[in-house]
Amino acid sequence: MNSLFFKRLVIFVSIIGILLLILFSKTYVSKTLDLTKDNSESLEKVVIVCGNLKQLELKNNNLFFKICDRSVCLDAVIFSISKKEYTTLNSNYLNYEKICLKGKYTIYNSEPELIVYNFEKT
Amino acid sequence: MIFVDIILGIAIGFIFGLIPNLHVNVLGYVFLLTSFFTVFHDHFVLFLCIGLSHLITSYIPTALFGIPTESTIMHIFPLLKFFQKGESKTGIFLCLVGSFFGAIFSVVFLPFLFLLFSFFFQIYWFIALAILIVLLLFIFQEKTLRSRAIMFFIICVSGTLGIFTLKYNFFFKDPLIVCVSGLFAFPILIMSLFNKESFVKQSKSVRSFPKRSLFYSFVGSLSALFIILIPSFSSSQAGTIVNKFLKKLKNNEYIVLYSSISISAFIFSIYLAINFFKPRLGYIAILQNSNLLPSAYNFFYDSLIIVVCVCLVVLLIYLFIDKIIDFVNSSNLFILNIIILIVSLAIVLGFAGLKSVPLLLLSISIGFLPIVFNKPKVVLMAYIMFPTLLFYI
Repeated sequence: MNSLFFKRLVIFVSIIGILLLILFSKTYVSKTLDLTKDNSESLEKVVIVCGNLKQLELKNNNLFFKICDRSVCLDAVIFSISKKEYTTLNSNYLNYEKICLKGKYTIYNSEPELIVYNFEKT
Repeated sequence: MIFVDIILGIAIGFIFGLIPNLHVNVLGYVFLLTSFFTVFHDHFVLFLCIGLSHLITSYIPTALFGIPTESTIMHIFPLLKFFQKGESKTGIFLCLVGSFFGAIFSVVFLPFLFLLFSFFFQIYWFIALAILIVLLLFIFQEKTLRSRAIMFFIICVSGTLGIFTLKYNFFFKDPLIVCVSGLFAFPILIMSLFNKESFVKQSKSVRSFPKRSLFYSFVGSLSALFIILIPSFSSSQAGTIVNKFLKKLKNNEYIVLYSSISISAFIFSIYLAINFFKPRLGYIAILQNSNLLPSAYNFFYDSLIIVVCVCLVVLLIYLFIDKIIDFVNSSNLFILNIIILIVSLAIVLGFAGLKSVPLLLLSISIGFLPIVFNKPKVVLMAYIMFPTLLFYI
């Protein structure tokens, strides 16, 4: 197991594998969800959701809120939000501006939820 | 009804604990997927006892099955040295001693944990700083520049894997099971297949008990009290850090300490999950998400159940250990390891699907890094520590 060939193979696979993982993650094209439709096919996938923010609540450095497309809302959370991110989202919320969130569409406590990775104003 | 839950929990935990590489978190997922939690709703004691019983029993396969000789895993957990000498039973008994006293001390420490956690859990910089210090400690405990560079490389690779599977996961289902198995379990299993000298006849006698078992159990429980405050810290890391302070512990002392830390961390995690909604261990997080935890921790009642459960598990292992050793002595360890490898692979792929094969291969490759460079495997915990660090910065 300590042969030079095996050592080189392990190093090579580790580096190339990590670089590919980063590359694929960075270039991943997410589907945009329409909240008014059934999105069960997108569960556990990284998606984009656009809409307006409601009910912002900051708890233990995590921001819990809803993103709504007209009357249909989806629970969302940003873990360990920075001050800058919070200021941006809060001003967005106060001005009722539309925003797009990118994150993992998942189920939490039997309800769909978006774990936000990043966001951008539209 | 409580007694039925305790006995049933101990029996289930004992059976599953004997399966090598079946982590208690995986067991939690199995329960989740098979609706076991729904059938036994409101049976917190049952799942508490399963967890405790599994934790203590899992020392048996760790000590008895053919894990490779002189690999660096021994830096974390020196049971293998007992295995090599044919003294696995002694190693297992040391685990029982550490677990028993560790459970008692941890119950005594629970009020202190309440005070400590109330004070520290809002201090994010403290948690981030502690993780950073441990990562730096991994690097600077090495003496040469080359060794430090290798440690830095392993930390970066495993940490990046953690970030792109746990924090930003675009592709994979249940990446935690896949990566933890790939990083920690599979490299050891694969190595054991190539190690023809891994079969040693195990003795049924017990020797070399440390004189200060009570002291090391106390220290283990005390260190778990602080380690549990920091998410992503494992018992191995706690053991490594304490070892630095106590300076060159003997194998038997280290095992008592490690077992005490492990059981204390489990009990503290249950307490934190109930009182602060902060489970530190995956199995307990699954219990919490399945609404199986009680609304409050009843200090006397729940602590009594914990102590009774630990005592019964220790007794059960004491009664069965000779038969298990006989079985292992009469088995072909090579075939056993192949069976374990296939079962482990089936568990991982069953949960995560075939799409996770590339991730599994990458994790296995990274898991081999500390082995080929002869570094402690605990450094791979950067996989959990990097995403946690990002969370708290």
